[in-house]
Amino acid sequence: MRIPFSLLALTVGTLSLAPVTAHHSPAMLYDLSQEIIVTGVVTRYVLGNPHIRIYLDVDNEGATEAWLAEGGSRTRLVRVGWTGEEVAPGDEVTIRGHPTRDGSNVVHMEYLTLPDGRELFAEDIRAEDFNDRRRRRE
Amino acid sequence: MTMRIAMSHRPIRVFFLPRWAPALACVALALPLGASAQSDDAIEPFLGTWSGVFTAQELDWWTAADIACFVGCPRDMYEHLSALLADPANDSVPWFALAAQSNEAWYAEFEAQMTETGLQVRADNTPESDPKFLNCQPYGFVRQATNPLPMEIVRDGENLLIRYEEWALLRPIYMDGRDHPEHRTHTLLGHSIGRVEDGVLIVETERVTSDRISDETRIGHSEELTAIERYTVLDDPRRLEVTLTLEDPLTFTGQLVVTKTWLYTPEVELVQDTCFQQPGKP
Repeated sequence: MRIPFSLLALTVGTLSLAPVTAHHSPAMLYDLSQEIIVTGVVTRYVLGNPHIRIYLDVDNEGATEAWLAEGGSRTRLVRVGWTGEEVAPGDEVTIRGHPTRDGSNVVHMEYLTLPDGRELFAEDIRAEDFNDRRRRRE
Repeated sequence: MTMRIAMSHRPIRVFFLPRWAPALACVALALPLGASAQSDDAIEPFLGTWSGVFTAQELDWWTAADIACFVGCPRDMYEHLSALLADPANDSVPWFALAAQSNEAWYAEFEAQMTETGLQVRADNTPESDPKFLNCQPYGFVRQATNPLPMEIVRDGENLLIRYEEWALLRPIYMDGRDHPEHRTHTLLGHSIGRVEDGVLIVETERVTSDRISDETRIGHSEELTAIERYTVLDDPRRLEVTLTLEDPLTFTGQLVVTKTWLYTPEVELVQDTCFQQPGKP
């Protein structure tokens, strides 16, 4: 199911694009209780440090908006097979993740759906994996 | 923002099991290792490759508090969060919500210690004002010393060398009894001298270029920063804990004490950071 971007825009607003910062907890910049989906055309992809970044042009009811998807740590993803060639400019991709707290056009990228339909986990850690790890195991 | 937009399908997860995971599990189970108690060499226990929760996440020793503190945490915040997580009354509250609660509580206290200069530095530390990493330029000492990626501590003659995966930086720790040089320009990682006392590796650092202490809080420090790291090796599982004490009278009064933990991961190889070489470099 693809969520129309127009619906997404109602949710997250259209503030200016802010660059990501260095290593940080996603909970501080993103609303992890919300989930959004952004579909757009890649304009640039950087398997960079500290976090990977995909820049997108997103069609919002005829108007093109610049979005940024921020994923996990570069070397963490390299360890599990990422090469920096997952996507290329011109590819249409879908990002699933969390919106920013300030409503800017940045998405915390957890899942990246490639043009061939494959979905990659694009973060360092799945937060839900730690839901039951609240206390040190005996 | 109250609207929730969620997918109804179950995501297809691509899961990669690292080649070193079985060996890592064996290391965790081989208890007690107790290297610190088995060697007369005071430095030896600290040598090797150490990984944070990102890299060694398969081990269930970590808790949600370690995730929240993957780049280190103020000690008070870590203890506050651990207490919240341990309280059964909070079991229905998402752990990241508790983490945000602890962070806000700590930050409210620390803000009272910030000088006028410190408050101004924080105000100037907008995301837009620190874009150097977008061009593959490393950041400074505090963020480097608490970064979430693995590091390897090796001997360099009488001294130690910390090889950080993050930015592929090398950091010498002079253990030969020298003092800080009288004349030295400030640098990204500063000048570090160390010694081992009662099993604790104590590293003193100064001459650090002004930079940020934390991306999340945007707290910064000046070139007056002095730092003392106290590294301790513990067992069950074998791990390295640091208490990093920061003082900078220009930006905050008192001390800022940060803690962070790495697990001993001899099978982990550092990934050469070729950020500046990879496709799409800005």
